[in-house]
Amino acid sequence: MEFIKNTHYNFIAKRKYSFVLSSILVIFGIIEIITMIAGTAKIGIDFTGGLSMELAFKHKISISSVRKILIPAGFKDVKLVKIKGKNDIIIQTKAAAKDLNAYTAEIKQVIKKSFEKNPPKVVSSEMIGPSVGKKLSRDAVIAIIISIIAIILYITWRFEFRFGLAAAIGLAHDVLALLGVIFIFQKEITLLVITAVLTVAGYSLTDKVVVFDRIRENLKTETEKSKHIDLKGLVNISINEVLTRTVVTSLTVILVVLSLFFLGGIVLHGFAFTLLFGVLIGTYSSIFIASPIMVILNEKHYK
Amino acid sequence: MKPVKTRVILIAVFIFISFFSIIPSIYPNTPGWWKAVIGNAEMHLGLDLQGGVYLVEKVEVDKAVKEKLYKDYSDIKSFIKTKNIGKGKDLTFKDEYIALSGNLLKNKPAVSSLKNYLKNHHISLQLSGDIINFKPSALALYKKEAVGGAVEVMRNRIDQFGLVAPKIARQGKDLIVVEMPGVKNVKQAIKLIGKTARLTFKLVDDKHNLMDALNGKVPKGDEILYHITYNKYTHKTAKRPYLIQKAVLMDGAAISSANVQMNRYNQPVVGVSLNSAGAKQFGNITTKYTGERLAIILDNNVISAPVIEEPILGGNASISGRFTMAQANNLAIALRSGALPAPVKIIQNNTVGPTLGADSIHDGILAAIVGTILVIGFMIFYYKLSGLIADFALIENVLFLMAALSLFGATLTLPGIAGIILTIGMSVDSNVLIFERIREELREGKPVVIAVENGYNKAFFTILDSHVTALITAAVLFYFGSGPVKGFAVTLSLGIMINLFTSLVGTKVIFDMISNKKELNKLSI
Repeated sequence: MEFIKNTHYNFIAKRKYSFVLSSILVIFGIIEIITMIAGTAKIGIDFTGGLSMELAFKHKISISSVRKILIPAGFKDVKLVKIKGKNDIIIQTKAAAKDLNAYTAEIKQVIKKSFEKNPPKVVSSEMIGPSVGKKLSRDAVIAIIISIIAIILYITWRFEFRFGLAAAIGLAHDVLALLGVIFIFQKEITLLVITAVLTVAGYSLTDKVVVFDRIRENLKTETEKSKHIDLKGLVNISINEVLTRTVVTSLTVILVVLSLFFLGGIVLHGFAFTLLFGVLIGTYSSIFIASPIMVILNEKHYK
Repeated sequence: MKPVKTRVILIAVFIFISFFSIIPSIYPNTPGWWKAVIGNAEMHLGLDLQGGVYLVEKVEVDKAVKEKLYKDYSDIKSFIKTKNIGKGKDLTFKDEYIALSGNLLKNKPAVSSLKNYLKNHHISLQLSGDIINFKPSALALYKKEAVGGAVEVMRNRIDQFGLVAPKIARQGKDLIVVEMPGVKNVKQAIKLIGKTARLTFKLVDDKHNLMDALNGKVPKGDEILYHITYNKYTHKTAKRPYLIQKAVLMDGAAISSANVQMNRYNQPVVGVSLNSAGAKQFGNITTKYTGERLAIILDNNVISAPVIEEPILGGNASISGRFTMAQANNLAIALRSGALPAPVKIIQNNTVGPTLGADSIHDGILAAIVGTILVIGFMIFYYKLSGLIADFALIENVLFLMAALSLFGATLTLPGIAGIILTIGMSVDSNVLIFERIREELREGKPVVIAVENGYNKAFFTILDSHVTALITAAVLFYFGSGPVKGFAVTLSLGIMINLFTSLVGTKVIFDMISNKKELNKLSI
């Protein structure tokens, strides 16, 4: 079975389109970062601090009935989510200035009192002080920066600097574009989503290394196919040669990520969503972003 | 002929060891000798899978420092009074330092005798300008010891729950992370480990009027503390005020053991034995203040305030306070493990109920099985028999990964399961690379044996480089991640390393075995 056989697509020539598409995504990504800093983005309580509580009610329950109880009791700034197929409600609120321990206890008290005939059980509760979140965001930023530097160094050592630089630009693109997708779909940034972004960074690099490796090999072997053509052509040939691998590997990863997305439960939903788009973006950028940039860097270098 | 024997034996041994080490982790009734062979290593479920609590507690060292300074301030005040070099009002307590009055500073001999006194009795304090404060080095050491001490005390308390694999660790300057997977009574556990449990004995001031004090006229050196009782029938709490002298006569450091006893009314009380110094001190106090009321105070709550009827010299005492059995038990544990050197405040509390954990395991395993079947099916569909060989490597991968997690005694979290699932998807990548190479070689018309050999050789460095880059990001994730993310990074890194072995050695040997058996003219790929 072969999907793709002996292709000769001119990927590099399509770079104008891909650069426009990527610019749009990256701009959205930058907007997401700005809104994150400004505090208007959807950020999970693991970063902002706050509390999240899942209550399992004995009988059927509606969000509005819970809201009706909480708002008059003074809990105005709460977000309520109902879990499909269960009598469970998740109550979330961002960092309140007052004591979170007391706040959690108060909410529990109010709900227990009002739903005496439909008593809820606390399935899980999470209470995070704002200082914890600050440390977490700092650690995440440090992790991303350190991995980018380490990768440039490794690829420069194994390949050449222009490959390392192109891979790093590709990686930065992937992270930003992925944040752009998160912005467009208005998904919440949680610790698991950031973990997924870092995983995607690792995956996308693997992908770029495979493409670059083939370019390197074709540059070295002065065979008939590389003698009479320029770098653009050579890069095109290389991408086409590894195209099947790129498609097949992305497909197998997407298969498991999809099963994680549909079957992995609510906790892993955002994680799987980010991975899904991350794999797509990482694969796309190896072909349409990192490789053309390598060619451009090279032209600047040698002209 | 290619020699395959060593490699086949190696892989067979690995598979055997893997099965051997995984079984104790998934089958709880594994015989004891079996567990002993693998060093009792077992995979643990993280608290997101079996339920439990994850706490981050901040040690409020500044409060402890302030309290210590107040104690020293009382000492210094009584020193200048007895030496007659100054009056009580010459010293003012200002939370972070003690201010000296101008009068005292003018008196040169008084200043030098004060300096001498600090040098001999309060080595951590210094007189600088017109204030007395902590030496910076002493302050830093004190803070460090307070956090370290708090970790020790909490560990003692957590040990009382008899949990499997609880974790307690210091984080940063003043944070303590506590993980208690599988803890049953979450509320009680949180309360118990965070209890300061500072036991003090102070006198009740019966010479002044309590009503006046409640109206705002608290006599100097006194404070109002409450005895709080909970009525289990009316569900109401009642607060009874006491006027207490601030001076601490004795504290919990003198306790050598504490346990629950029954008094003659069959009510639980906490029996306390004092060490020899404590027994002597307690004897002196009860002799000196016979007839007065001695308040037993725990963390600023009056537990009881009995009248001292006669001197107690034996070093044994009991604390009664209408406890329930559980309350008495908790108090005994808290007193045995000692007081926290500083109060702690919870700044993060993740509690996962056991039902959510069970749901997560169920969902995770389902996603893993479906994902695996999809990938296995796809590989056979796309690469036929060669795909089957890649599938063999995939299963080997999962097996080795589980074995490694068991042998390292790793904690399996939900993101960890996600890491395993992701490994399944990525593990075929190396084989895809190799197979595509082999197909290229075959297209160029090379014989099967050569094509396979070239395919593996040419793909080798690509696989190596791509694995190392992926490993770098996983390592960074491990280093900076916390809690569940660490679990994810561990499974991912182990998966990457194991994958390198299975794809380069594990599948190659099968191709070699096949080509040794018969002359291959066609390859099912």
